[in-house]
Amino acid sequence: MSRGYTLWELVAATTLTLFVTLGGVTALQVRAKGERRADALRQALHVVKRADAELQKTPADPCAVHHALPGEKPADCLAPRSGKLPGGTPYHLTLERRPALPGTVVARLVFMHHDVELLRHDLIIPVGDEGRRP
Amino acid sequence: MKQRRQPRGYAMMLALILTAAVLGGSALALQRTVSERRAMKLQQETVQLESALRSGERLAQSLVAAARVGPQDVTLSDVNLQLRFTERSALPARYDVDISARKGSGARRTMACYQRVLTLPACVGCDGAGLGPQDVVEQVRVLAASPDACVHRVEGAEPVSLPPPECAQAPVVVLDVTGDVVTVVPGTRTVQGPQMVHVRGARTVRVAGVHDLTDTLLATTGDLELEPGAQLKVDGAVLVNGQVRGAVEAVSDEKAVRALLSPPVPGCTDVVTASPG
Repeated sequence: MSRGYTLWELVAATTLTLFVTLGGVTALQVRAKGERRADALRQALHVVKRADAELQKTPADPCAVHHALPGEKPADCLAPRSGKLPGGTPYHLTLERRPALPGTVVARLVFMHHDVELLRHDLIIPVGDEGRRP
Repeated sequence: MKQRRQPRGYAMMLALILTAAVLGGSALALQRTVSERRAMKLQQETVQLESALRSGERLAQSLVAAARVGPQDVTLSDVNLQLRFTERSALPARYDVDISARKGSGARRTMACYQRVLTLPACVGCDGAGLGPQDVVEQVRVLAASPDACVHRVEGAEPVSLPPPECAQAPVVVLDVTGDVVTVVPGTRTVQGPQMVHVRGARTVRVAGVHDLTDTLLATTGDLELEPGAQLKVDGAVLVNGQVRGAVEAVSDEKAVRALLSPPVPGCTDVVTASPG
């Protein structure tokens, strides 16, 4: 019958198996992580698109951006807002006036993924100088 | 010897095949992740650039409405937005806007056209007496000498009707027709030929195309603080149930001419500016 394997052969086989398994698992982990990030980004982009669509309907209404976000909108549409998308992606919305852009408010949407900024997007809302439609 | 080595050879082969399969699978998974990430990046760029263009359009609209037209270079998160205005005509104020957005290697560009239109509430301070879109106006006259007249419904064929008392303080002006009365009847009809109409302030106002009488003429007068005796030229206006569907263009020697109302130009968006009521 066959004799047993040498120690070196066993060590080499075990090391190879370990490396290959680790490599495979790491690849799967990277892929899963990438998919989760892609899902979060897809959701964030969907919100941006929706906010844009809402602004197309009512261009001068800062509340339009809030309509694109899940949950209840605040009483003051110019107030900042934070929350989570259905997939669990946290978002922050801030609206601010910029001196360089008179008569407008810039709505900044920031989406996070594992405490890292995933997407930041600005939208211009022409609210007029007194906060009304121009 | 040969018999002893055979199982080891098989084991080696199996191990190699397994290794190759796992490594190949991992490489494929990683490659797929990378290509998906690239596709997502492209999608992100597309969405952000398209959105920046829409923002650019809204900004251009805001600038035209506020008469603050000028080149704009704006940074929206990591998108560079550029607006370049070209005046198509001064009267009415009409601008072509070249909007371009850049992010990394991606770029998008669009052209838009905006013209400024002013509106004024039909009748400030006299609810119900103003000319609404559903009202049928038999005859409309400008009371040129009256500073605080109000557009109102004139019954029957009376050539002149004073505004109701509650409208006396309303800062709205009606039009006065010299030699003729602009008659608006239910349905649609076209005013034949040029007609001279007195309106306070404007030197010339042409009506030809599509516009609302209550908005356009009143806006013209209201916004310009027109002086008595200025002339309105009404040419080929289509009147529909109390609405003049046409273009109104106010021309004045003074710089302050702002009430510019003109027929819609294909591809040109009206920017409505509400005048103080």
